Amino acid sequence: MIHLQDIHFSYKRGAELFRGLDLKIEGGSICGLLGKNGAGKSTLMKIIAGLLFPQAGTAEVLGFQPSIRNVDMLSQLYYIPEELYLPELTVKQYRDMFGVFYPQFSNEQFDTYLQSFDFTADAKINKLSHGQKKKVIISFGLATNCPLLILDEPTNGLDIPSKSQFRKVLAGAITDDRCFLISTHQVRDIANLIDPIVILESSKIVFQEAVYDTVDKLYFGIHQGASEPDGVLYHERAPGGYQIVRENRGGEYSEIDIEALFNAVLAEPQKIEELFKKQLSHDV
Amino acid sequence: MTSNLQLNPRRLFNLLKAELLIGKRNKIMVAGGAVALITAFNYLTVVDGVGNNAKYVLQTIFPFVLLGGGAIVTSLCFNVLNSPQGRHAYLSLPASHLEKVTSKWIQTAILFPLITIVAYWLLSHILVFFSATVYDVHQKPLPLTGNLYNGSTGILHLLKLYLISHAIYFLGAISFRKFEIFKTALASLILLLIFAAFAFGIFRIIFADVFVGMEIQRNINVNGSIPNSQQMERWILGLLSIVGPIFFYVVAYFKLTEKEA
Repeated sequence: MIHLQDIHFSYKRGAELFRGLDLKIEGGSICGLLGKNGAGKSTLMKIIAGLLFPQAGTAEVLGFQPSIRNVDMLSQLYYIPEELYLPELTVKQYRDMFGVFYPQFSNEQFDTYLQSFDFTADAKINKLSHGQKKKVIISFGLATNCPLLILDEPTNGLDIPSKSQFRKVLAGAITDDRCFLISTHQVRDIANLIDPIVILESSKIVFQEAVYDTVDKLYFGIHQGASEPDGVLYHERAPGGYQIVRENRGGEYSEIDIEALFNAVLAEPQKIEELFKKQLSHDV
Repeated sequence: MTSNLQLNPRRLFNLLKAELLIGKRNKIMVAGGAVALITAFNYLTVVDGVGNNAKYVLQTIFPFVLLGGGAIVTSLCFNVLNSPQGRHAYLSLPASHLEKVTSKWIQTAILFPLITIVAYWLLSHILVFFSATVYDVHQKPLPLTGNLYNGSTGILHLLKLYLISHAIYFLGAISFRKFEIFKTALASLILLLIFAAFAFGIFRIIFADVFVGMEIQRNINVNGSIPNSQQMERWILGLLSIVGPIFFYVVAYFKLTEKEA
């Protein structure tokens, strides 16, 4: 569905953001794209959506070269940026006016998604609060039934019940031929949802693994006691001891902690790389 | 299909409909403001006792309304591209670049002059009626055919000028962010000066023997083989009025394809 190879990108008068970035994402997944501020998550999403053009490398999205912005690609891809631009239209007008551009758009689904977010008003969208706007656009994006949905910080601005609803709606909407690419800093909002996990750091993808493989190779748990644990990939203070990430030698069961995983990948990229026996780095 | 050079009439219609209906309240308010301004200006002239000259006021200000209004409207037609959020929404909308450019072109190159001419024609007849009834000043309404005031120019000629000016401002609307109208005017002036200097340079080289320094010292058209200046002006303007807009529209299209968010 998404295949990026040896992507190089830099903004004008800026340092190179991506140096030889590779990424491959298949359908049927809710892919979580994680990275520090300024790592290039939004930029990467824009490249995938055809909104930014890489200086070098090849990009293929849904079988198209995104920079051409072919209509057939655009009508199968819906991109929800962090900051929204919404015209002076009511929700229904927006649905009727822009839904027609997406061949698989369903009015019924749109209304259902809105109801699931407890959204009933038919007010002017540009006058709504940020969270309300997000609900409308997320509902619209899902109702397009596009195979590829790109969401940049989708839970920002959503209230607590809506975040929970967002998880349910997304989990219910994913199918084998769809892919949701989500970038977020609020990893706890989507912790049980995303699989695979992709981490972007230092101009490239440093981690891209399925949750199953991750917990197979890494153990996430609590080290009891006051002394610092030895031989772990990452540790941080937690009530009653330390939260740790270590190699999972004995096939122990643990629940993935995405925040701890992220910190571990940033703290020990070489060890993690060796552990997953993959060529993760493409330094020039 | 990997090309984006598609023109689907249904999608174009949907795009046009959406773009026309978005912000319709603001558009109606601006149009109302323009009508009020024209009416006020006309009546101030009539009441001021400009006398006989007042009868041509409506015809005199029409070119400014059409060309000035067109420059403003055209310069603003791509203002959605001025903000990053607007660029995301516009560039990711499932319509080809050609459809996007065509939609804006229809709005600004066809609908705007058409609506302006019809509306102004109606307004001029209403104002003519009132100025005759209330002030006993007999004004001339906007003629749809024939020449405007003092036989100087007609609406068809104005439309030709409008198209040339439109093509320039259309390209400026895509190329510049913010203050597009001023930047386009300035860029056009600079390009015009460069073009004039270049043309003069070429002329100076071709007809070097008739020049002394930078001045022509004798008639270069002794045997009448070179068309007279009026003829040449007509040819050049005729050529520019066709080739110029096409060139600017093509460049505008490619500018849009190059736009990034």
